[in-house]
Amino acid sequence: MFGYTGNVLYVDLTVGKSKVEHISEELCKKYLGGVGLATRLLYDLNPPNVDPLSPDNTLVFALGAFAGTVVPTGSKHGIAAKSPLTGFIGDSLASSFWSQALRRAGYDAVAIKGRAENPTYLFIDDNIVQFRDAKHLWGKGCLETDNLVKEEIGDETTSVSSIGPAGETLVRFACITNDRTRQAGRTGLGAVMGSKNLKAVAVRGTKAVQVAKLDEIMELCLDLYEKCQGTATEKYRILGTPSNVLVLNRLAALPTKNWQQATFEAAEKVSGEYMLEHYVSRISACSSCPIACEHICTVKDGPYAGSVAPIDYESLYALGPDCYIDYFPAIIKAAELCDHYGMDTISTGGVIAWAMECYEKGLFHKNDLDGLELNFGNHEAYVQLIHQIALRKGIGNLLAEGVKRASEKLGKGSEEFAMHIKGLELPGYDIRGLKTTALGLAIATRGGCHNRSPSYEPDVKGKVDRFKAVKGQGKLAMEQEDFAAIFDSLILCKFIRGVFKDFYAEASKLYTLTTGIEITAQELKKTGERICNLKKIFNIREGWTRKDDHLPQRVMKDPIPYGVAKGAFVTEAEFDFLLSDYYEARGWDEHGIPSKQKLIELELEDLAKDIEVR
Amino acid sequence: MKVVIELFGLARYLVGRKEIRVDLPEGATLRDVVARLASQTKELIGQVIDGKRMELIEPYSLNINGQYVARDLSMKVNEDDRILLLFTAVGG
Repeated sequence: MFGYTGNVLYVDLTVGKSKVEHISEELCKKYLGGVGLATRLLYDLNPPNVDPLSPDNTLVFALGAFAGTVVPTGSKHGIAAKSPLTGFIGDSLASSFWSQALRRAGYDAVAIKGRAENPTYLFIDDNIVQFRDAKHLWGKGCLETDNLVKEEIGDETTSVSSIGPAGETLVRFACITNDRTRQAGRTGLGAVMGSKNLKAVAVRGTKAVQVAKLDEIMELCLDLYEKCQGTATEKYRILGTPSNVLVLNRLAALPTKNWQQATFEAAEKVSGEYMLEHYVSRISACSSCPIACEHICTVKDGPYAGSVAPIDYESLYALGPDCYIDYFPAIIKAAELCDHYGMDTISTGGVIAWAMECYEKGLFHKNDLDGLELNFGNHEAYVQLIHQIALRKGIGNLLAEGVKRASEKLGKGSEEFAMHIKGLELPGYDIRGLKTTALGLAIATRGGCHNRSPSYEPDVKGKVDRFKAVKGQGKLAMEQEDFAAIFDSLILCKFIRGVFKDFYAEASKLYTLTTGIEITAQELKKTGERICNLKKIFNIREGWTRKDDHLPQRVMKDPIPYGVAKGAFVTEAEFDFLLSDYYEARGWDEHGIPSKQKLIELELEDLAKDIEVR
Repeated sequence: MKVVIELFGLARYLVGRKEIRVDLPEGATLRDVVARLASQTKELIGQVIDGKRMELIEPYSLNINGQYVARDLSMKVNEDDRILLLFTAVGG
């Protein structure tokens, strides 16, 4: 095989054994890699209705087809398991050297089940797999773990994927960090790793990666590298994604104060423009990426002096406006702590914003919070709370459960302002005035997510009237979801999407030149649809019903109070209409269940037995 | 007829201003707005504005008063319109 190695490494931590099995070219073509391949392997390996934090929940790492090659932004891996946060498919992506190392070690994927008796880390050293003692690493932060493991192995070229203390304490939104600063952030896969007593997976790969048509790939990729320096990626390169702050604020789509507002009075102080002027100390890139979007910020003085963290828009929104924080150094400090402990910044910000609203509404008292005065905007309290969440101390133990479970446990009406979909805390787009986006987030299989269902494009680009719910938005949401599934499975970073003129044609050519597997643009498009259906079927097998494609109550009851979107919200009737429109576009029935015919069309008929299809 | 062009992101970074006020004749279109913007902010030519065709370079677009995105540049503008010059590939 070219590109792919054709090997999957299966690890059983309970018995401390591993084995290698081959995967077929057909399977690779059907699911590509990344999220697609990881989900299919997970589907086959997991029994239905498994407890996400039990040894039976398999954690699958799968590489994109381009990992280890020259394809720009292609060195990424996907991770999948049943999510401890949502109870549905949990999948997340991360970039950089770890994926290259794994491919050079000779694998396309690693599937890990069981639970080690004691803290353990895996060392995959080409063909040799070692189960190493990690007791001395337990309790260490992600960066320190990375350094210590490399030191122990004695080779700086080893790449490490690890969890921090939040993964160990089973914070349900703990992430998995690789190469010091890259996170597979969403859906709590770090807790799955922690539940297995698995502190890290270190990889050293020394083999060559073979591609089918080297000269032609080089030519195509050189062209892409050049285009990546053009206007299509300028936003990411110069200001980074935090440039979204002022745009979304102006459109009254910047969730603020736990979504009580869609505009932030202090938006300028947390803007990408302000950040670049005052805090960006350097701009960094993932391996094999010519875009370099990562804006690393440093606090030079004040109470958080010395704090360093990469800041992107989603972290900024969640730890900034959503918590009503306008003091940028505190946001950098909070992001640094999340990175240290290994926690998703979006979920962390989301759950703290909810706790702040609870406090201001009198549902939490100072005594419940170990004396913290958790008003919106109190950055000292929120920094303290991050420690407590990661270590599950005091109120942190409740918040570590995520906003859905925490609000259900607290009750007292706090569910009405718990901003989540399927249990996943929301990204930074106020969907009351972005109705295609509202639909996209509601139907996303991993929960409210802009990356798996980037349906803000039609709203913000003006393909539709963003304030209206009309026929056709279901199809748009579907197309965006399928498109994202291809990016997440090939894998390519979505920030490169603007350099393609005809994405499906160009990407299929890139895939064929890399792997030698012929795939047409049409087949590639169909593959996106297949992967989305597969993820949906995974969820159905776990008990998903139409009511799980929902919106937070606030989105449907509390209109946006200020700004150009004042008065906007999503009515029950609008949402119901949009949901049905989406199911229809998908070829699913009114309950959101794929038909047998659809499964046959997508070559997923082997899954029909697991769900009640008609 | 006075309209205001609000700048965001790279455009603001290049020009160093948050907004630009322009005076246009009655019946002016968005194409006139782009032409006036190009004449007043040379920094945007080649990066945001195609100086030859007097059009915005992809993926820039114009949003009118935060309400809707202009489909094409032939659209007429109105007194006191606030025109947002946006980089529309959101996400991240």
